[in-house]
Amino acid sequence: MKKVSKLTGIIKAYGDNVNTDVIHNPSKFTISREKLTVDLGLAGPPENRRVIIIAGENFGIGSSRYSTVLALKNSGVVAVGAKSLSRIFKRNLACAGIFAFEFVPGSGGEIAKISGARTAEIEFDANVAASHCAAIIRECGKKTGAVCVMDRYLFEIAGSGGMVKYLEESEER
Amino acid sequence: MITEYKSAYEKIFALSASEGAGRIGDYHPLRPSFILGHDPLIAILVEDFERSGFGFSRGVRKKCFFVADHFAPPSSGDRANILKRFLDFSYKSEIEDVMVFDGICHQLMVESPKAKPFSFIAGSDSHTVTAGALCSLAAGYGSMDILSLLVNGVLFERKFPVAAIEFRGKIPRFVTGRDIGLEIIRLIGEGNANNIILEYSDDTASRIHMDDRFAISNASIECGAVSGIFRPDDILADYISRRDGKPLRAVKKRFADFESDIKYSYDKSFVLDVSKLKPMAALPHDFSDVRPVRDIRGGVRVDQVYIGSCASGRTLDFEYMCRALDDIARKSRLGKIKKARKVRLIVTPSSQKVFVECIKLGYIEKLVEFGAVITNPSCGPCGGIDKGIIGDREVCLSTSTRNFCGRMGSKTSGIYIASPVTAIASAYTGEITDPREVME
Repeated sequence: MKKVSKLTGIIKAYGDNVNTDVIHNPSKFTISREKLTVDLGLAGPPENRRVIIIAGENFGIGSSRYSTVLALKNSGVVAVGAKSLSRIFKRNLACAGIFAFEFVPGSGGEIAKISGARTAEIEFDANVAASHCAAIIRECGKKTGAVCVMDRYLFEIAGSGGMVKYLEESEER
Repeated sequence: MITEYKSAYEKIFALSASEGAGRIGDYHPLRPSFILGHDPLIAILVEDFERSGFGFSRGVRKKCFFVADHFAPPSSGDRANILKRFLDFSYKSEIEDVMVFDGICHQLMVESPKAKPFSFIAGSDSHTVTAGALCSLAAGYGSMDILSLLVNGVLFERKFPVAAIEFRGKIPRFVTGRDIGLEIIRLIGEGNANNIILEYSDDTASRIHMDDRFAISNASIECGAVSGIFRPDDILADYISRRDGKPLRAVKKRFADFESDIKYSYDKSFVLDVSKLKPMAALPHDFSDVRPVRDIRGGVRVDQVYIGSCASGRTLDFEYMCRALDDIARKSRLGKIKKARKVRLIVTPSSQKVFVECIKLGYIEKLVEFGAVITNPSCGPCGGIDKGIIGDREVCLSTSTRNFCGRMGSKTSGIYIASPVTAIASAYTGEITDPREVME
């Protein structure tokens, strides 16, 4: 697993219960991966930017379509911080190499209210517990932020760059 | 000695846990008995599987049950190539069961003797939860999780808390499993059962039919639940006995072992008195607004009525529809009734087996005479694929799985979700209609 300890990116904010069909309409499904993209309404070409999604409850509820997270990845998304993530979607994010954090209850506060093209940073602490990795997401330039966690298994997958690389590394071991 | 009481889910979890692979954090390696895959979400993993030179874990191919149901048949060149990728991979990999255009994967799964009670069933579609009605831990996963399962033979999963829902009372006329499913979503809230197992027990007067149980388990995912498991009982035993052609006594042998312990303490429990239920509907564009159909005011005109998908379209749903047609004809004192002129009515049986049964029972003829178009068993418009896409500002009353914005076509269209009975009543009047208004 690559040693990632900090990420920065432009914030893209979503509300509560944003479902997979809204993120990426099923009619756009294709296995031509390069065609999978999401219009995040942000400036600049997706290949030159890093995006951190800040979302509310149940982000990614709905379908198991892996194409949805590939579309986010192709659009520059490197991490998600949400009040809660739908179970299948959370796994899909990690499988695509996107870090998927959930705010510790009561900790989402200020960052969850952010909208507009500001930047955020995520600092990881992978050694906080056997079951999960902890992180702080904060708006760049601010001292305080939201404490959030990611299941260790999923963190390891995302840290490897996704499920395929994780499996390849496992086979090598 | 302290006795450890377990729920049915925990017993299945313990049975499925693999000792060979170590735990990672809170994630345990689970060995499924059945792996459901469908055309688009298997096709998207093929490139990674082949490029990385992965192989199938021993014994996995026999557990695979791959179904072409989304692009069935394909409606564009791109989709034809997705189907081709799926079929080439499936045949080359010598997958034991490859079903092409035989029906919707979740219905074919529960029709298959390979889908066994008391086992872990992993599928590439979120509505794999449908098989929870078989008292199995049935859950959906994304393509890369399925890829890891094909390679490792196990899938790493957490152990989740369990909430119990007990059905009591007598189901009123005009109320179906789809209404019960919608009421559960209303009761719990959209997504509020995320990372929770729902365990259903049926203490209703006449017991819930298996087809209705499939509709209820299917709806569990809209609450966010990992799985919606029905406790084992005589209704399930009878279904398995007839499905698998095995004596009832042999089927029931293991049932007692997987009953939830009476003293098991659930994280939450609800009692749902079904006798108080009314025909229900979910309003566009999510499941945050589920209410009795009668409370939808303003006469919502419908352009299309769609009855199908893995949430309905089973033989019992056809029985409901035809009984509704008889009731409307009786009340209106017309010998033959027709759907409202401007409404497009599309009906999709969930499998070829269901289709043939419904032909033999005269249901298909009756629906065609009413004005329905019958399509081949497939996912169709449910996921915005084909055979019933809706246009700008159109309204569709659908019995399918989801009402998300733009799911069945235009982003300016609206989808209302309801039961097949409400769907027939609405197709008759041309407006969203409580069936009791035209049938009682």
